[in-house]
Amino acid sequence: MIIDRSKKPLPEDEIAFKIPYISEFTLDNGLRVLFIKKDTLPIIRMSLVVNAGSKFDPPNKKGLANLLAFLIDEGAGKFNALELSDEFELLGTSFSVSCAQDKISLTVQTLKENLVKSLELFNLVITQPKLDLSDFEREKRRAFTKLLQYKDNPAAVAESVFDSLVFNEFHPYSSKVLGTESGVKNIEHTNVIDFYDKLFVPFNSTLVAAGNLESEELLDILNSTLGRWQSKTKQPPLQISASTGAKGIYIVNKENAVQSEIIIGYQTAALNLNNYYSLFLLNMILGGQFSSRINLNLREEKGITYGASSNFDYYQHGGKFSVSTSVSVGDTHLAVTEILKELNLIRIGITDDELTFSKTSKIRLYPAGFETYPHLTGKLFNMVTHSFPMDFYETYTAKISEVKLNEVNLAAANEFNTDKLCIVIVSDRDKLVKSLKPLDSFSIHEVDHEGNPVSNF
Amino acid sequence: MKNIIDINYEKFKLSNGLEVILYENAALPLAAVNIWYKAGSANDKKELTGMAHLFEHMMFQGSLNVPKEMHFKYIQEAGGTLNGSTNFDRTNYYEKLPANFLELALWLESDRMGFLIPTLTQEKLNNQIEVVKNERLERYDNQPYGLAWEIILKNLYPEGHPYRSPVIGYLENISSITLDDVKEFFQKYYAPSNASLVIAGNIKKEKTKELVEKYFAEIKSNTFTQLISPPPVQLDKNIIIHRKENVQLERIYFAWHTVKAFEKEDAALDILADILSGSKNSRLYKSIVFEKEIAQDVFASHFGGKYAGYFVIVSTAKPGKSLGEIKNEIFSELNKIQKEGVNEKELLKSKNGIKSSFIFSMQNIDSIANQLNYYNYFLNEPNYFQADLARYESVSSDLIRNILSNFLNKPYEELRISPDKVK
Repeated sequence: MIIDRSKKPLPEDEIAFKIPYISEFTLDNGLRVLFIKKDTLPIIRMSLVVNAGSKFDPPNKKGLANLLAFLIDEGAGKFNALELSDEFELLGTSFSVSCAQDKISLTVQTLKENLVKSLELFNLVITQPKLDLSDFEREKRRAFTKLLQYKDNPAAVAESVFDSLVFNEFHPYSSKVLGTESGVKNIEHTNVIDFYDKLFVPFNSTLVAAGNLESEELLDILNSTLGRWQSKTKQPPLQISASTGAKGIYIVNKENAVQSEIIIGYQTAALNLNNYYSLFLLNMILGGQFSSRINLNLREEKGITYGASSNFDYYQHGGKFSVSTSVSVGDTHLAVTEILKELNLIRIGITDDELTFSKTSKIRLYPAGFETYPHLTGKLFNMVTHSFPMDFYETYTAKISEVKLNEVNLAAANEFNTDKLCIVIVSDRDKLVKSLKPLDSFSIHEVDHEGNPVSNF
Repeated sequence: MKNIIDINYEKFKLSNGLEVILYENAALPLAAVNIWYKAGSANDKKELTGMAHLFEHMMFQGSLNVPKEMHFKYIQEAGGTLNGSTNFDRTNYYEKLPANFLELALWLESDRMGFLIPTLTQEKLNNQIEVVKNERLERYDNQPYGLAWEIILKNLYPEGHPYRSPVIGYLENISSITLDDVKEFFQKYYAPSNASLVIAGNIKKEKTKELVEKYFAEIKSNTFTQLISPPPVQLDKNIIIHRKENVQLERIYFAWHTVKAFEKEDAALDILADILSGSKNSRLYKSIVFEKEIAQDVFASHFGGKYAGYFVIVSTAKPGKSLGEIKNEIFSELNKIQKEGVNEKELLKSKNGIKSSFIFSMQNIDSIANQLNYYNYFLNEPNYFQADLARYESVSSDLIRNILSNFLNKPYEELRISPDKVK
């Protein structure tokens, strides 16, 4: 049989997909719980999301929140660090702690048959961590060594220097979660304990969970564990100082680098549902996926990179927009000018076809975002960070499809202004300077791996 | 519990030799398509390292009925995700998309399986050579310790061994690949008889069979078969390599020859790796990272492929600590295990973790699809999940002691990477 391959096959009938129901309840001690029932596998996953990220680090103790995250599972209740790790392992339960700018999250994923035991251990880590001095000292040394290793990673250095420049030094998002060398040095044992006492309290936390059980079952188990967690103090409000970001070109020297790591962007406001959907679609067209303008230009047309992308990163109290790529040192100038060209070009407007492509792609992709247990707890985590309304996920595709071309074009014209850009390049300075031609209105500076000015340049 | 990892599949072969494996799972309205071509970097010619991987890139450059850039775009427009990957033994291509778009994915995959060559151009090749060179620079040359693995492989395997060169290839080889090389590679390896296709998810078997027949049956097969017979691998004495790099901390690597995938000791080597470094209270982590604090990290792992296998241990020294001391601790722990074996609790921790990970891995329809192809490739049996878990559950302390004496007590390769200047 010879078939006609020249025509793209059409889809079958549209599929039905129901967004899972999110239950919300509050335990007697004030701990808020968001839960999605998912019964495909005997798995339960939950994260305690504590509003205790690096944004709370004092200016002279950058790295404090992260150090608490390192320390909190180094022993709890009657178990020392090694015993505690063994207890989770014997259950085949995975447990991890992570620290980001806004939150510290403690995550447990367990088979249903081990739910009660896993949750007892989880509860112990949250409510009775040892936070011992000897463990603190070891973890502080580990954090300090990680800061040394960070210098070797060009992408991490570029991102961190970019953050330190687009948020000024007093802004809570200006330094990386791991902190700074001087900051970590200044942290004392009592600082970590105080930080825990002040911020690890039920009303400053949310439990997000997805799993194969009824919400009543979950409530019962929580009432006898995390429901008994008592608040110690009341958390002070976070002071956010307004800041304007730096503009210009900032070079971080990395001797013998064979590529330049480039980040171009600026500080934005926090996520705002009034323009979120327009900006999301706009970014898809600009650099948010493989077939975007920036990637097709730099990769599929010019062949100067393995990939280039753009992103709006939203934190709880602020945000940033950035385009990033890595190219051979000799192609740096071309990459930067092409990115600037794309940013200017998109301000003129996008086409109807581009918008339709982005909308259909995003809407049809939507069900796949609910496939796994981590997908679900991740969605609940975002609800917590950005205070989304309870119907956010249910109305998402409708909101996307309602976005109009003129709204996106207006957003594009307002959003991207190449005059305010900060350009960070991690590269071999001497080789780079030879190939980098002057760019209108961008002054060139050299900074170190923490974004501090280097004088003799 | 067991039946969760018992996959009820159907397997058949088209007359052109294409193996097809179907698995229905209606948990979500998604379908996963996953094709393995039984060619990887092991099939690269000596002077054309990186060929199989570059070829993977060319498969996304359009085919007879699909213009350049549209392969990605059609799948994305349908709400799907897609990619491909190359390793020593095979190259895979996969899509996950709303189930009502299954036919689109089969049309695209069959078009490039059957009709890629007419649309290949020098311009497309030049472009992707540049992209891949940048991929190599970004992922290896410009990363700290980024060339370690390629140095290890080159010294671990003799001339002519299929695992001797890195999958990504050497820069000078990547640049020298011609359009004729690409065509030759396609004609040799990209035939239906050298591939297996898994379709999993919210599909209807009968309808799916019709679609597979419709799009793939007419693709011509070939008769090419390549027998790779790797030269024997054995180190007669330790190989010690020192290298200086622009890094902050010293790092040491050890590599030993072991066994191929699914050979008798393969699962036990994974468990040994876990017992050595898989958790805070694992042997090496506890000793050199947690207690003595001479290392920042330690990582042991086993790789078993089609033609060979190796076991590695990697550790990064804390500032001012010596690699010699780390090496002593590693070998003293290995000797101890060889003499005394491991205890029941250590085995139980590893086995319970592995059991959970089998169940956790059932969350993604696309990872199930890939795993069906993996088992089928090595064992000709896609539903090997339960038997695979049983392999791990049967590992004993005695088997682990045997591994130590038969493999890890033999000559090894040691690579040390140190800062190129005093910091």
